[in-house]
Amino acid sequence: MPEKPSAFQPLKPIDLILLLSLAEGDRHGYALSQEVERRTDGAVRLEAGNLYRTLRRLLGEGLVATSGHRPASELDDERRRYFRITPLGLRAVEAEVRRLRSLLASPSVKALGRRQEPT
Amino acid sequence: MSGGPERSCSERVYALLLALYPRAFRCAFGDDLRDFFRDRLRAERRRPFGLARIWLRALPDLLASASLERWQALRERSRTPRSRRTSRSGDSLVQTLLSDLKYSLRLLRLSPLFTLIAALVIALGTGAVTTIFSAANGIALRPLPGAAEPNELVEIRRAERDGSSSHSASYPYYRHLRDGAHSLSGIAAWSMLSLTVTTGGEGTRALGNIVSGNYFTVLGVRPAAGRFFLPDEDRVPGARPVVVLSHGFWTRRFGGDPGVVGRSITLNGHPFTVVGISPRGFHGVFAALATDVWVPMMMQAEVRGTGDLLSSAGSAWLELFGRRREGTGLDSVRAELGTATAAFAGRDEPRDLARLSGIDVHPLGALPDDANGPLLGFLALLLAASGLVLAIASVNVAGMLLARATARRREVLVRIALGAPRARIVRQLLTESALLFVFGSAGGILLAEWGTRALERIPIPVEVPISLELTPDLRVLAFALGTALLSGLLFGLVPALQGSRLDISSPLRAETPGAGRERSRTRNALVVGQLALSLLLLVAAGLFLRALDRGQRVDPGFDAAQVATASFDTRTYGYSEARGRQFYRDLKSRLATHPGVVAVSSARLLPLSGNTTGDEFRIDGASPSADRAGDVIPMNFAQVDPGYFEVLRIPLLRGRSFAATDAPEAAGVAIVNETFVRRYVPHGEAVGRSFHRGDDTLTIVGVAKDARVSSLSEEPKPFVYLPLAQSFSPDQNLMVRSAADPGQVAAMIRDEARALDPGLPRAEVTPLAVVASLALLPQRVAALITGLLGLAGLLLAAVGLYGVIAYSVSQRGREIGVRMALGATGRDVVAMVLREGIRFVAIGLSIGMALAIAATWLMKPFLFGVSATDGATFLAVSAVLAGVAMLASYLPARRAAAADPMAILRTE
Repeated sequence: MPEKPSAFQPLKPIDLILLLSLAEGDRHGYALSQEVERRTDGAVRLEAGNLYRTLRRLLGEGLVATSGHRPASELDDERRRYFRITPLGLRAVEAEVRRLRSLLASPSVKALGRRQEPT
Repeated sequence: MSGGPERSCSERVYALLLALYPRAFRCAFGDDLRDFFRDRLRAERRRPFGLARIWLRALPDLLASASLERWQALRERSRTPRSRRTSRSGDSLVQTLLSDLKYSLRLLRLSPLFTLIAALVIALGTGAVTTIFSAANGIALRPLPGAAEPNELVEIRRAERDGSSSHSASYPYYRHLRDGAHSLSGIAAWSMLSLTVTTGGEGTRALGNIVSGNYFTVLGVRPAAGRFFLPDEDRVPGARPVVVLSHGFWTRRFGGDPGVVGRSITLNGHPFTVVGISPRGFHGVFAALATDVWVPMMMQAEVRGTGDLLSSAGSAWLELFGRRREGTGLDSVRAELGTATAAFAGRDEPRDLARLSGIDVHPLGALPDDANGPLLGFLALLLAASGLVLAIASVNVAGMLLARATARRREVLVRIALGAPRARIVRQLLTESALLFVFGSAGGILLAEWGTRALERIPIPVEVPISLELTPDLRVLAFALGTALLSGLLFGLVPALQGSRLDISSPLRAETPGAGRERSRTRNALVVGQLALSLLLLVAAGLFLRALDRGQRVDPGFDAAQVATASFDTRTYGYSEARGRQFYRDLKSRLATHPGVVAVSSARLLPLSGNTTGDEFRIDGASPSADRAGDVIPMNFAQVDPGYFEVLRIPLLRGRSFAATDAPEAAGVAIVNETFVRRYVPHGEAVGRSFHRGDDTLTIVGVAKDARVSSLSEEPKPFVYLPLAQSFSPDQNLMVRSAADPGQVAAMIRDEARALDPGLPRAEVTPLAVVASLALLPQRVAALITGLLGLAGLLLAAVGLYGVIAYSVSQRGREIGVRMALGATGRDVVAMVLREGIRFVAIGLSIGMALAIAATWLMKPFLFGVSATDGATFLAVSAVLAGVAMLASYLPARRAAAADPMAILRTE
């Protein structure tokens, strides 16, 4: 299993969104799918099967782990499994964000953005 | 017992569907997926169309991700260096299938309305089939719930040498078989008995089983709490009064208190110690009858109160079953037990048992063997009817697919032009229809969930508690998916073949009327088929309704109105015979004093309750029917108390009714019916003549008018009434005719019984009319189900016809325009279109009639003598179908007539 965050670059968009959501806090499956939907303004709708397939891959790559920690505030009677981001996952996200930022910083991309804006 | 929170119907279906995932994925994420689905349900169910939207999202996701998972699992398994292929060439079958699936999914999503309507139609069809199959599965097919490896279990009964007329077993015979059998790892015995369970001075009725010590071991059932019987408890008669409670009884009666194990309860007046609780879902060997309590064989004398049956080879009262050893076939079991039986037969046995030197061995079913045959026939009939609905629905969807193929000519053309072989396009179109059917079947499974719940609620008025678990299980799920896939391929084939048959030039030519002639010919054939099938269904429904109507109007010869009944069993109260007699005497005389009570009596069996008693009689000078050797005449009889004929209002034509003077020590008397007199005493006075039952001589004291007390359908047969006092039975049915309100009568019966003995279980009071209605239950259920199916079929057929007529009208727009321009009136146009509809109806009805005549004889056993080709039914049903079909063609006709001819001509 690769240990260096750079090995995961470029991250798939869906992986990035999931990892970003988990970076904010531990979540269970449904909350995660809601979060993804919110972050993408409803453009990406993750259903259970697809979501857990992705999570399984991320678990296998060591970017995500299941969490023993449960939010105390929530009144949950069920044994829902929570997921958390691993340190490796966090570094992978940071590396990806850096990569995207430098990509967006190039002058030609900036020009593209400006031309799009008025429409 | 942690049952977890209440799970909704959707959740259960979703949980079942998870079986589509590979096992590894299911194990790792099954719970998560379920939790996710539950969260979504909670959050979104209340929104408009919430449930539909949730399923529309969840189902494609589930199918897609499950197939991807399976594909991946497959690839990982075959990832050996040799078979490593490049997938780019797309030569793998799975790969093509996957890409077809993806493409189909996208297309279906692009036309959501088409997908939704088609899926709904399929859901209706598969829902009908799945509901009925699920019911059949729950009643008869499901292997014994709660048992380990139920397929190894066999039922064992004694029989004639040729295996016919099977019979229960005696305890000595059971021991003989058990100790000598090597083809079976164990043989267990059991017998049903009714019980009164008393705790804290309060009695409850319960259905009990007396079982051999190895009963639970042979079944492979594990206790939910405590233990089952020890070998020690199966040795000495009367020594160890222990009892096992069913999970249901434990929850109902003791609130699921685990402290019950070790406590003492009273069964039929004797103290017993509870040693264990059976697991939930295990209801005994005949799972449809919910057993409450299990008592070890050695305690039979105490709970049955009939003396020692363990050493009597003449009392056949046990049912046997065994577990086949691994790898042993039914035939070798039969051979071994057959030899053992032949060796036993005749040893200390009375003649009628000694005759049974053969054996009947078959897989253990959920129902008593004698109930299985007719029930399965009935279920097969209903399954066939629901299959017709599926066929009609599928034909409808085939029609929709055909129309869609027409609309997609351009797309198919492009693919052909790009070099796609026809087979590839057919496969793609087939994938689409199969996928559509699988979607629809998910809706069908939901429908089946609701449907089976509704079926479970049909009240069945019988004495034993029925426990039916009809809701779909994995087998049903597999059946539904399989049926859907099969119908998808079958009914998608014609549209796919036609949709792909396309010469490249045609769309380039101008659209001319008649271009899709072959296509419309197929559609026409489909609609005719639909009309024919729905006629068949409606005829079946009509026949059942007629049978029900006739059954209700048959004069049973007795008056069940305003008669309340309640059953008692004094043996289960721990009473001696003398005390039992006293109890019934006191109860009846107390009730008779109440105002409003017209007559009070009791009988061993209630009329038309489905139970009968029969025996062989000898009548001096009467010649028995020609086919019977000897002078014995088999007849049904009823054991009744004085007042029986008054309560049921059966007129006595001659002689007298039974009286208190017909006591045990007095001379034997009988009352016979008219048919008895007509057949056996044709000359002279019947009253005063005598006949024989065994060694008893019975003198006829009265002649009653014929009444159908054993069966509604049969013609009156010779029948005998015997006084209950001269052959006492501890279980009796009290009958009270009263002008008072039924609720008051029920309370009165309960109060008087409790006043006599406060420890008695609460009496269940049932109107006799309800008990007797059991005789019509099959007709009632069948009329209801086929009626609903027929309506669904009619609706679907009407929609199909409407579609075809509307399509044809749109195709003939130019012709209609020209005709109207030339002076045809709107009425002419309507008539012209209607004529086309009539043609369909005429052909459809003729084919349907032929089908119906060919098929309805199957229903004969359920029809009460209504002819299977009953003219009135056929006529009425045809009229209904024709009417609906005309309406379906009138709507497009009227629209065509209302159109502006110039506008049509301009667009053409």
